Amino acid sequence: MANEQTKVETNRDVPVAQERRKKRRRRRSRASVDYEEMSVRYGAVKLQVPSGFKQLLENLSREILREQPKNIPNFAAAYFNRLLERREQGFADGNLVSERIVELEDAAPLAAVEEVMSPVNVGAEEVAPTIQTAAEEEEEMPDLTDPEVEKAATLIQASFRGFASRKSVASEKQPNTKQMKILHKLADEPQTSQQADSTSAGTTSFAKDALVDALFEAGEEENLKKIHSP
Amino acid sequence: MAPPETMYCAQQINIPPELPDILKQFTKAAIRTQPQDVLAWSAAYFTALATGEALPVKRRLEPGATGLTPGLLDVIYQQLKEKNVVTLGLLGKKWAELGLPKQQLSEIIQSGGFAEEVEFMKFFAVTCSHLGGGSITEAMRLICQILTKDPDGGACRIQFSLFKELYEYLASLSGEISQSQIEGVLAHLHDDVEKQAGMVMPRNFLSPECPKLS
Repeated sequence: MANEQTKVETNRDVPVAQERRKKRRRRRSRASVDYEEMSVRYGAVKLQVPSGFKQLLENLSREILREQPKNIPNFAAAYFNRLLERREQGFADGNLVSERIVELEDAAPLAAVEEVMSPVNVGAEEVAPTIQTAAEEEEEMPDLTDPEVEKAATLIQASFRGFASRKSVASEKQPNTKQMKILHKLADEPQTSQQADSTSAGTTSFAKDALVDALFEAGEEENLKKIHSP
Repeated sequence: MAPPETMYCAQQINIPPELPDILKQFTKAAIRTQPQDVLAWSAAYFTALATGEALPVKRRLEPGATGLTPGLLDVIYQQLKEKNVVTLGLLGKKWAELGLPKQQLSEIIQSGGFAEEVEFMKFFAVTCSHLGGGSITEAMRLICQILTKDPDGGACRIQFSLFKELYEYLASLSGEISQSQIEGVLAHLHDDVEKQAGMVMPRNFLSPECPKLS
């Protein structure tokens, strides 16, 4: 008896569940997605990402995948603040970075560069103990007359170009994978970095470039070793 | 770990496990907030995420809205409510992050007669009045809507002491409301407030029985 009753109940439940599923499917099919425009339309309501967001998200993801930062929010904050800074300086290519942004680990010199890159003080509280040394080094760093700084900077820039051209060689080898897009974009970068170099060469912003490049060196020492080795 | 030097296929790329969710939440926030200046807003979003501050994200979509909206004022309030006093520089920065027109900020600063350092709640009240088109009734309704701890679409109750303080401030700022009128309104609301455990809600002062706020 009891068994029969439960059987009847489950039997009654099945059509209800099916009906519900059908309704859900119908509701979902009513939403039309436009992948080109990145928008979803539910009847009269249209949801859409703001203009330019798709490109920005692509660039962000590419930078994150390339640098593999441990703290993604911190890295993204530094990345966008740097882009914002460049836009304020009047660079038209608002979404392209000509330099790499490398996460600060525990070394103090890195904190110094991080500071310069993000004037809004990303995670200032967190790096508070190192910030004092950071400020001191910041004062020292932009000394363009210091031949060592200049030498170091050019060395780093050169090695970066080497790195980038290696990447472009790699992309030529592999013409058909989905990843091509990313590698091509990497290959595009030497151009923008050279443009940036030529526009800022001889100006005070060279100091900034050097700092950012130094950041590249300090954080990626291991990578650099790889690049220098044949 | 850096990716290997030579890439042959997509599988070689290490995708951090938390990345998809971060990007998804970020995109959802962008859809809901619809920032005017995407880059400035993105920088503010991740800076807030990295430092653990309130995110510059609207609670819900406000379709077709431009310039300052109640949703954006709510964002500014959530980010600055811990501070008693804010500088004009900080307000300008928040304004730029949300892509709001500078003109609007300077109008608000002018109508409040603010100097370099501003009591945040005063700035907030004047901004509500600006959003309400100068009507004090509308401003007080917005204040209740943003300051309330009730869920969305609820009664929008706020502490009567807070209501009194902001109402008296806005009334004195407009300079057109007599002291007896202010006292009349507060005395009328007092009965409701006693029944509502010290809280007041827009229904109390929007009712036809309540004397006009302005």
